[in-house]
Amino acid sequence: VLQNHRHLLGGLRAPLAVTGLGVVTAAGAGIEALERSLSSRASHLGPIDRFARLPVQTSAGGEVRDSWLASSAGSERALFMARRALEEAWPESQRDGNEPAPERIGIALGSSLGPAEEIELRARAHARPVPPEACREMSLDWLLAELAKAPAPGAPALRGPRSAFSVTCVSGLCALEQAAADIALDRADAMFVGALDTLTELMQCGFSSLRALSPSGELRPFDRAHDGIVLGEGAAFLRIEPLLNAYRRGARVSACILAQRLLSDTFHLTSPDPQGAAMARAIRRVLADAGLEARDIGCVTVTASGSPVYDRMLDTALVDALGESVVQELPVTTWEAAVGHVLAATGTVALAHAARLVETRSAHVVGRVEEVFPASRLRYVIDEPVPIENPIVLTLIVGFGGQNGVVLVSAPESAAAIAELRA
Amino acid sequence: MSLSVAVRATASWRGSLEDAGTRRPLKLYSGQEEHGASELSLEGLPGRWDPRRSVPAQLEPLPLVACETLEKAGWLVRGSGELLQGGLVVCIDGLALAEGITLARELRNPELATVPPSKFLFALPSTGASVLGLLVGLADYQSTTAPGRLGGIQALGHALDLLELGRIERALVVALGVIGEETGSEFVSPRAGACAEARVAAAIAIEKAEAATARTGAGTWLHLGVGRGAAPEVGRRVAARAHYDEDRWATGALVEAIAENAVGPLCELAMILESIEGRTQGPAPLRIVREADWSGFGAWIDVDASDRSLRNNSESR
Repeated sequence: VLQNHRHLLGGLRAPLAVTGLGVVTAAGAGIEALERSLSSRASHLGPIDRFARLPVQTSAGGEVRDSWLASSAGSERALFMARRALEEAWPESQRDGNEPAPERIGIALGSSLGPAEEIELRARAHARPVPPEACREMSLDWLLAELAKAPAPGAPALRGPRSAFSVTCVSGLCALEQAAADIALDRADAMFVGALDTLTELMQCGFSSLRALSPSGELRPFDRAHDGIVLGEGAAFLRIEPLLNAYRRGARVSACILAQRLLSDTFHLTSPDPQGAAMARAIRRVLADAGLEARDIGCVTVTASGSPVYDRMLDTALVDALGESVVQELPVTTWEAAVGHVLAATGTVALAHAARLVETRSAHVVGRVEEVFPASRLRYVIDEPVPIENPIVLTLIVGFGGQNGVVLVSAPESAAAIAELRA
Repeated sequence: MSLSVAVRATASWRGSLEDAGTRRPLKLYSGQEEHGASELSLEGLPGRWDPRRSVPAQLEPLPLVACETLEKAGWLVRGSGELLQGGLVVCIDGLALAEGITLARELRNPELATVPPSKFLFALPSTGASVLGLLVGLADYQSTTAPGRLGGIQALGHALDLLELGRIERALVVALGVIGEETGSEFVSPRAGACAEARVAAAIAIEKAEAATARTGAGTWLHLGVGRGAAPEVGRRVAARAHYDEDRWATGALVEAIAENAVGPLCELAMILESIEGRTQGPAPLRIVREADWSGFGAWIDVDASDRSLRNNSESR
């Protein structure tokens, strides 16, 4: 019986359990690869040859260079990357007779540009216009259909609800919103929520045209020397399902997603509101949704793309929403310094990262910070990992165009207690 | 499975066709009323958009249709200074791909010194939502569904789901379709004898019937549902395509191109809602369908304005 489900994500079927995680970044395939990089403070960013001839602020980026991806290009490269992340989230070892029917498993996907490299290839190959059949493979719909048809080796096709969103860095959060609705409204028993973007000339030139990239080519979140974004590429999928269902089928639950809010600041086409008012409001809303207080949060993970504007905005918003006395004690970490800002995949990589923070109960260092930027009031994890006392992680994701996403991720036992879940 | 939500809905649509160097308004069916102004007035809008700056031409006529619908619904009162509350779900089909292809071609030029930011911004499908947000607000939740023939239906379904679950109080659902030679949906204008560009936008303002009151402003009380699936069961299909007046066009190719664009189904819904607005009782339930295609997926919108009790209940509140 659920006593306190009203505002939790998933409604009557809340809380939503994370029963699979798949991540592909410049660190390699698998959440473990990303974790190893974070633990060792390794960076996978570097110059990308094909960007050197372009009129860009930097040719640096975080490219996936794994051998399984080496011979692919265009839409196939995006598909392989997404499918590998999906396969990681749904390994064969976890597929057994207790799985829901394929009609009850769906997929929700996000991407800024979909298979953008295909657009570049086709534009090169075709004089005007590009043939209609070629346009198909440039679409996110195509990617979604291919993933649903063959999600992983040996896995059945996903015949449940399908949806796709394109909302830059928060695309994955919109996909999560729809996936949670599909579960809450009993259209599906499990959903794969994912997002991806590949590093392309379009993206590198586009962000450079906005003067948003780091001229130094170094990603230095929270550091006095932060001077802009270094783009990366990647894909991440989470499998979500009602916690009760997960327990019944004996699935391994790494974390639960309690609440999510996505508010826009309607401030500027490309820059966030420096006061972070919408982000602060979103933080307060998720806490209210889950019936929690600021002191219940054990750790914060944030989008930290190296942009001074975003670093300051997040600092302001957290102080505003949680209070200065709370944020002085609260460890703040990020994963972006290792692999770059992975565009639309940011939201789902952030959720996977939060789920692992909840499992490991340790906040790793944020990367290379020699001196924290002036006027910062947060407790960034700089020197040594910090233990997470309460396994409830506040996840902040900012999106291009004034989007402010906040997700509360917790340990399953915390979620069960919050929902007053009793068998 | 189709979820049906009792809502108060207000809608409008507009389109234009550019060929032989001229742009003229698009009329797809004979019942369409003549619209007033064809350009958006930025005066008195509550957002941060500087009224001295015109709205990007790439998005036309989306902002005009959105503001027109919001005013008709009574949500937007110019000069009030209050940002609109509620959600915004957008789908823009054709524009981002065309802009992306154009930009990708330009990047091949070894002489290229810089890329104008606007070229990149409009290659992103979500820029339309950002512009609308700056004009009017609707910041409680903003999303953009992926371009494609089902994108408009998905946008409506997403908004209905969030309304049903109480995640948002009300939402504006908008779609823009750009049909041109660069997006695989080109058609030849018989007038110009060459490829022409059509731009169509539709907007639907929806709020839950139980929360809506019979305030000043147009609106229709109805049950609205969206279904998505591999094999839609089509039992009651009365597609709004029947409203198209082919006499106004020498070719049905444009009608087909719009129908296959994300904006098509929302345009058809807007036509239906406009035609029954103000009536005490709507027509029999009908369904706007997009059959499964190469992707194996189809979707549909169920429209049922026959339940008089919805309006009566709102009037008694």
